[in-house]
Amino acid sequence: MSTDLHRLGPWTRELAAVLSTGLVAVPLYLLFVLSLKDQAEMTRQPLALPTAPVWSNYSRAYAEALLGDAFMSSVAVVLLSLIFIVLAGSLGAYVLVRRGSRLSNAIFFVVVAGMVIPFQLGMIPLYQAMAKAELVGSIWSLVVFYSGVQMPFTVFLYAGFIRAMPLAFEEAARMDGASGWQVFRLVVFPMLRPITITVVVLNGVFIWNDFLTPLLYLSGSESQTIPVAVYAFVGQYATDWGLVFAGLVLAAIPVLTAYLFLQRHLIAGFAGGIKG
Amino acid sequence: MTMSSPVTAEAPVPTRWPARSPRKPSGGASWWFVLPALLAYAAVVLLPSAGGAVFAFTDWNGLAPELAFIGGANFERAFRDPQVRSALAVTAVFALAITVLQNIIGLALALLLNTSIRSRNWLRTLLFAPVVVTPVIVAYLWKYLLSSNGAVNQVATALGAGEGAVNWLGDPRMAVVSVVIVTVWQTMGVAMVIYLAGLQNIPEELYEAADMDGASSWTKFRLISFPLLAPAVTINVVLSTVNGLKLFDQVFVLTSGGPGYATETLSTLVYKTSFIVGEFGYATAIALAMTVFVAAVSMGLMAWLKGREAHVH
Amino acid sequence: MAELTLQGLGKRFGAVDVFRNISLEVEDGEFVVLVGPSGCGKSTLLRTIAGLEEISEGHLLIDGKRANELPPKTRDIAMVFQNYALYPHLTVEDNMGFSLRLAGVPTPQIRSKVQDVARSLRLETLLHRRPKELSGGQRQRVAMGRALVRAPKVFLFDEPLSNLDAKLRTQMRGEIKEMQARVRTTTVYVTHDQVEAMTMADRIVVMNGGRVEQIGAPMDLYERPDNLFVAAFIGSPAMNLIPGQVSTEGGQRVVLTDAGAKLKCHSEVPALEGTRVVCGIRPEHLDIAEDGIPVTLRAIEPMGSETHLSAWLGELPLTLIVRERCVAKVGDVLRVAPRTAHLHLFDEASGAALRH
Repeated sequence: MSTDLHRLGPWTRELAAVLSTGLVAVPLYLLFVLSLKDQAEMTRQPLALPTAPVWSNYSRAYAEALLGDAFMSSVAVVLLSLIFIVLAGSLGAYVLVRRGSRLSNAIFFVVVAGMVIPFQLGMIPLYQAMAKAELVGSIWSLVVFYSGVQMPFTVFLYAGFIRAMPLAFEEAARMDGASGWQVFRLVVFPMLRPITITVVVLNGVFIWNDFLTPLLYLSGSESQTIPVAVYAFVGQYATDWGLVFAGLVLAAIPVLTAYLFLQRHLIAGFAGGIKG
Repeated sequence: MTMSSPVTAEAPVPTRWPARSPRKPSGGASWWFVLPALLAYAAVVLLPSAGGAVFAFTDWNGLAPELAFIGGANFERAFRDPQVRSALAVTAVFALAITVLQNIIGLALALLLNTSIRSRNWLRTLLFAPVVVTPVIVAYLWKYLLSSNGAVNQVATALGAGEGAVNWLGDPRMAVVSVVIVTVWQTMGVAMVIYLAGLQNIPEELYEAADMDGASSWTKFRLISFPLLAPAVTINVVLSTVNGLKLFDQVFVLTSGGPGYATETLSTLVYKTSFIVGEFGYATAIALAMTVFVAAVSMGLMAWLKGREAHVH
Repeated sequence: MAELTLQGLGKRFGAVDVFRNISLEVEDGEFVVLVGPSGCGKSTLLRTIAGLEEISEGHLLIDGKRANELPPKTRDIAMVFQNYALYPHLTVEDNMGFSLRLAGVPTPQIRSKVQDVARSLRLETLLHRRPKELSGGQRQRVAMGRALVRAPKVFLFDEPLSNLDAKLRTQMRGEIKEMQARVRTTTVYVTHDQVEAMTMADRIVVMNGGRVEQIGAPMDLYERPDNLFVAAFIGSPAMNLIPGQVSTEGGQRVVLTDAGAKLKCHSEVPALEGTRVVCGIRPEHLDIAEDGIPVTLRAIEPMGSETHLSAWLGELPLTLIVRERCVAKVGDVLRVAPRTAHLHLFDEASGAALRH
């Protein structure tokens, strides 16, 4: 325990805790509370608990925002992307690290350097290519996109971890008769579990919440992901804030639920993974 | 009289060799394994980016089949374009403000959480929660809260701030402030968590030794915590700067770059120029310039901070 | 079971030679120990036999067939690694059965084979544990079990006991030796500990700086070291080494030590008058004698069955082992004499033994 703030005394610290709690909690509280109010009550008494909760806001929001479909889309995009990202990323990092040659080091550098390229640079030519391949409007456009764009970061994470892994396990497996692929599948990949969790968490959150690219490829289509659905929904019902908030709450529930169950992994993933 | 010389046998064949010979994998990892990753990366990042870089030198509008090479004309135009200049300034301001605020608040929260207050764990959970919520959702939430008769103004009026409640999103200068507030609110958790991890890595003995030397809390922070947090500072500052420079979602939702061009960033400008105005060539030129700008700033920042890190140790 | 033959084996990393011109014939069922200081190339040599490193020159023959190009699996060799390299995500049972599983052996067969081996190593109760739940000695036995299950032609051990504490090491030494005697598989064992080498080997290969210094049975190396390095390396406490010059005195060949003492040596020692030599005498062959050389007693270490005495001959430290209780005190002057029959002579420049 650091003793930096002890001079403030326990009560000041508790106060600081309360204030920071309020800073975060109040807007979230308002998000839930306002979703259940009607227009009139919102202007009169924004902060109090709703007197007559307007539950219909939720059913309407769900239906109008097509959140059920959007949820399925988001899930599909995240799962499919993650499968490719984890497999290709771990395999790629494994080769580049274990080969250790000048060529593999050069390739590694080129891949990891991709982390600095903002996606706006290639955004337009890529869109053209996707359009030609008739992928625009389908979730596959996003799966392909994320598979490529997240590769530098993923390879970077895996490579750091693999570098720290002793060679002896792979050597033992070779002596036991494993082929190169079997060594990876049966020994290396299972041992990558800790970093795979970080990869999944960081990529998963990013992909789920991404807005601009899905806006580009899925705007208006029936495969739109949640952020795009929210954008369209709010655009349509901008004045009915209660309805809008209900939509926002519904859209936020999946992530918040995952967060409640996986917070330890999520927080550890952010703290540890970004450190790389 | 030492015994070493007579004891050793004659000089061995090599005079020195690596203590642990470099081990190469016995042919296990096949080059085929790297193909999927490379293909995806090349197809989605490298080739389009290269293509983009090329389009920057044309006048293509994205639809018509004809395009002409106009050399550096796009860049000259961008250099003179007041919109681009303004976007550059706005982007820089955002990056700076977000970085400073996020790190100060994040550090303060980490310091708070690192002490032995009772509500530590669930407080950390709560404070980190906004990080995972979709930025678009957060932006809309705040868009309401900051609207002219939104919750914030209502509370301000109730507290006696008077009729002229702040026009958070409509006033050009306040709009910038609002975007910064919203972004920091969402991302301060990341800085907090990284600083917290850094603080928890500092061995307790250092503080105990300082206590025995009679150091005050401020001294302890200045001489122990802060220097040893240097790596965390590097990561956090680079991260928030890069994110600040690339800021899109929040601006798009909260203000759409407005009012006027008060909050237009390079990101939103590129988007609009491509898809709304329809000048692909020009937009890509701006994107290319932006790439160079972001890369230069982030690498320069990294180098400077890493240098400070080494200096500290 | 197989013979293992090394013919002029050499290994290079870029411009650097790790070892050169190593020739050795290991008989079927023999337990050979490669011993030497850190960096002498013994581990790399083992790894080239295993197939984990490429051979730069020379021939490796397993059962008479050239194996240089064969991958590890085809060589039918099992290896116990220094840190055991037990797969952390698999149970003990799965660890031991891993190679069989890869070979496509049906599961019931794998289970029974693993059970048999586990029983012989007293691991039956640990089959469902993970490596991290095991003690050092248990992990060692699992690593051996993994090798045993394969029933390979050759066993390779890469310093398997260096991570264990002294007592455990002594116990495991016996277990490994016992196991090998049971299965009679050709074994090559690498260690830096000469005690392990002496107690376990049928034959020892002493290596230094990428070269073989001497090959022989333990007692051969002990009693007839070919050079200074082997003489000093083998045996604990180490052999006493006394530099001096060959001379003749009254018909008797003697060595004039630098400290001034005179040591009698065999008349047919093949060295010219005036040659610089190093005399070697083991601590147990130095006796307290009234006509001996005066040395100053530095320390007394009673071991129980014997007593180790450290003394100074001038500035040269000497060690003696005596069976009787020592009545002298630290600082006393003792008179000691080497048994001439056990006095070794080594040429100081080349280190080679001078034998009659």
